[in-house]
Amino acid sequence: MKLKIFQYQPFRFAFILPTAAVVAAVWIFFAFFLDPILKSALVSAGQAVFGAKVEVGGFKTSFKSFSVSISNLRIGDKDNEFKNLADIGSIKFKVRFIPMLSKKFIIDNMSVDNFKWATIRKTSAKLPPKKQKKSGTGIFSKALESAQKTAASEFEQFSSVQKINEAKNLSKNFSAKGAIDFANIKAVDEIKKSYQDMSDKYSNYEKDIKVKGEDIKVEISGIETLVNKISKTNIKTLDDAADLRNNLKELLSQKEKLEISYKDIKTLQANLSKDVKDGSKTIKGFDDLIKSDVSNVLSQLSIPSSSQDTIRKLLGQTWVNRINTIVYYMELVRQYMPPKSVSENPHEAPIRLKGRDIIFPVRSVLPKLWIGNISLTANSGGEGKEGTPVYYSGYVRNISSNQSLIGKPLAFEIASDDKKQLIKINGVFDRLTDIPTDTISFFADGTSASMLGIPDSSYTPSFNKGKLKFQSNFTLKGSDFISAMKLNLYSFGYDAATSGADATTAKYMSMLWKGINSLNANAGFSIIGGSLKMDFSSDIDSIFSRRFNEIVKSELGDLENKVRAEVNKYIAEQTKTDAAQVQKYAQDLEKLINGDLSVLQGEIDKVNKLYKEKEAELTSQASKEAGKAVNSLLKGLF
Amino acid sequence: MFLIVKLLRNIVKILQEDISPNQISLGFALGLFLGLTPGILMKTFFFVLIMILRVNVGSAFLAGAIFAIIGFVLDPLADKLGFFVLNISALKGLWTALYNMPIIPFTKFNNTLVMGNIVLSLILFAPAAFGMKKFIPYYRRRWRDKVANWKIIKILTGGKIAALIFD
Repeated sequence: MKLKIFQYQPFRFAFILPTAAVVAAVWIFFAFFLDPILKSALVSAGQAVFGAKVEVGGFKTSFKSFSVSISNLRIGDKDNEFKNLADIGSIKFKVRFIPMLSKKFIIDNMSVDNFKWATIRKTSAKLPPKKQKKSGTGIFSKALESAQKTAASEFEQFSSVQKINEAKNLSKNFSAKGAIDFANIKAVDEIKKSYQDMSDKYSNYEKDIKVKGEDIKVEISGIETLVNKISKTNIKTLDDAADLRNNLKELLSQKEKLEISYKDIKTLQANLSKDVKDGSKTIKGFDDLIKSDVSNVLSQLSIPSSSQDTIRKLLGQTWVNRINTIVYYMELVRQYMPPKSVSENPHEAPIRLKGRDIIFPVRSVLPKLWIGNISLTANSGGEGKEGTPVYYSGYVRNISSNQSLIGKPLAFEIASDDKKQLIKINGVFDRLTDIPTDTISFFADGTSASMLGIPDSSYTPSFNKGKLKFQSNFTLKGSDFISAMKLNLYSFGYDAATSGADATTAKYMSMLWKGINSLNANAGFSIIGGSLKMDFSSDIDSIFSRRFNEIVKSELGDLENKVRAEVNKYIAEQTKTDAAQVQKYAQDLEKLINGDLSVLQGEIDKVNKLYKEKEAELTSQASKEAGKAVNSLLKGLF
Repeated sequence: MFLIVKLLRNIVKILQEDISPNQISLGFALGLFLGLTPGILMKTFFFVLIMILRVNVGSAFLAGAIFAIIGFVLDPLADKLGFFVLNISALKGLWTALYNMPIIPFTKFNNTLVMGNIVLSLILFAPAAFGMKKFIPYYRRRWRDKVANWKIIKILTGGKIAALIFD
C-alpha cells in the first residue's frame, strides 16, 4: 500500500533532493566564501585606479537583502606614501536583484560615512614598481609639466631678495676700472657720429661762403671803379651832368646787388646759427642713450630688482600644483566615464543565426551601472590631524555607465557644517551631450590658509597661519581645460622672530612685508587647443615691487651716481676733440661771415654817401644853371 | 553508433517493460518541448520539469531526440507560425509586457523560431500524449511477446553484458 502511494507521487524526489543539496552548497559558498573574493577584487580595482595601496577592513554581503557593507576602507596617496588619500569608515548599499540578472548593477541609495582624508599611514602606500600606473600620459601632461617647472623656477626667483645685502657691499667697494666695460658704452660712437655730421654740414657752409665771397669781390670791384669815376666827375657842362646822372643810376643798381648779397650772407649766418643750436640739442638728446649705458653697466653688477609679478612667483607654484591634482582626477573620471555612448541601446537586435527577432517597445532601460544617490558624511579629523575637526556632509548623484539612459549627469556636492569655516566642493560630469563637460567648483571662506599648501620660507610671512577666502572653478570641456581662481588671504604677517631667516634677511623682509597682512589675487589657467595660458594678478604686486626697489636703491646708496659720473666722464673724454673741432669750425665760419658782412656793409655805406653827395651836387648845379637861364631871359625882355 | 544502440535499447525497454503508460505518454509529450524549442534556457526549464515530475525520463529523452531532428524540417513552418503569433495585434500588449519583464526576455520568446516551436509543441502536446497512451497498451497486447523473441531484442535487453555496457 505504501509503495502504491509512493508510486502515485507526482514529483521525483530522487532528483529534487540532490539538486537541492547542490543549490545549498552553492549558497553556502556564496554566503561564506564570496566576501573574501569580492574584497580582493575591490582592493585590486582600487589599486589600479588610484595607483596606491588600498586596504579594506571588512567586506560583508547579504544574499537575503542583496546588500553590501564595507568598513574601514583606506586608499593610499600615490604622491605621499605615508598618507591616505581617503579613509572611509563605512560604505553601505543595496543592489537591485532583478537587473543583476541582466548584468546590470543598480544601487538606489548608498551611504558613505566617516570619510576622512590625508590621514597618516603607518605603512607605505607605494605599490610594487610593476603595478604602478604610468604617469605623464594624460592629455595635458606636457603642458602641465612645463607650467610646473616655470612656477617652481619663479618661486626660486623670489629668494633674490637675499641679494639686497650683496648690493650693499657692491656699492661700498665699487671700482669703475673693473666694473665697467667701456667698450660697450654705445653713446660714444653715436655722439662722435653726430659731431661728424655737424662737421660735414659746416663744410658745406664754408663752400657756400667762399663762393659768395668771390661774387662779392667781383661786385665790390665793379662798384669801386664806378665810385672812382663818379668821385672824379666835375660838372661843368650839361653833358657832365647827364653823364653823372647815368653813372649814379648804375651805382644805384650795383648797390642793390650788394644789398642782395648782404641779405644772402645774413641768411647763411642765420642758418649756421640754427644748425649750431640744433647740433647742441642733438648732443643733449643722447642723455637717454647715456642712461641706457648706465643702466647696462648697473645690470651687469647683479643688482636685484623686483618685477610686478611677485605674487605670481609666490603663489603660482601652489596654484599649478592644485591644477595638476584636479586635472589628474578629471582625467581619471574621463577614463572611467567615456563620452556619450549608445552601446547599451536595447533596440539593437542581436544577430541570430536562425529566425527573426521581433522588437517590442521598451518602457525603461537601465544602464549597466547606476548609483542613484550616495549620501556622504566626512570630517577633517583623523590620524595625524591637529585641531578640532570640521564636519562635512554631501551627496553624489547618478553615477552611471550611460547618462543618456537616465537623462541626468553625475553631480556631487560636499559642504562643511561649520559656518565659520565654510568649505564647499561641487561638480558636474556631463555626458549627455556629444562633447563631455566636467566642472568642479571649490569655495572656502574663513578656513586656514594652510589648505593652500604654500611652502614656508624665510622670505615670506607664514601664510599657513593666515585665513583664506577662496573660489575656484575648473572646467574640462572636450579636450580644453579652463580654470579660474579668486583668492583672498588675510590675517597673516611677517614675523622676523619665527621666520628662521638670518638677521639681515629678516630686516629686509620686515621692511618688505610691513603693513601687508592681506592680499587679493586672481589667476587664470587654460589649455586650449594645446596652448597653455597662465595669468596672475594681485593687488599688492605694485606695492611690493616698489618697496623692493626702494630698499635696493637705499642700500645701493650712490652707486648709480658713481656709475653715471664715470660713464659721463668717459664719454666727455672720448668726444672732447670732436666737440672742440666742431666748435672751432663754427666760430671760424662765423668770423668769415661777419667779415663778409662788414665789408659789404662798408661798401654799401660808402656808395650811399657818395650817391647823396653827387645827387646834391647835381641838384645845386641844376639850380645854378636854372638861375643863370632865368637872368639871361629877363635881361633879354627888359 | 553507441548512442544509437543505447537509444534503441531505451526504446525497447520502454515498450517491453511494465512501465505505466501514463508516465511514458506524459514524458514523451514533455520531451517534445525539449526537442523542438531552441535556446538553452527553455531546454533547461523543460529538462528540470521532466526531472522533477514523475514522468518517464527515457521516453522524454527519446521524444527530445526524435523531435530535435524533426525540428530541422519543421523550422520553416515554425518561423512562419512564430511570426504570425508574435504579430497578432490582440497579443501585442502581452508580448510587450513579457518583453519588459526581468527574466522572460532571456527565453528569446520574441524570436519567430522560438515562438513557432513553442506553439508547435503546444499543439502537438495533447495528440502526442493521448496517442502514446493509446499506443502502449495496444503494443503490449499485440506485439510485445512476439518482439521479445527477436534475437536482437534479446541481445539488447536480456544479457548481463548488455546491461553492463549500456546501463
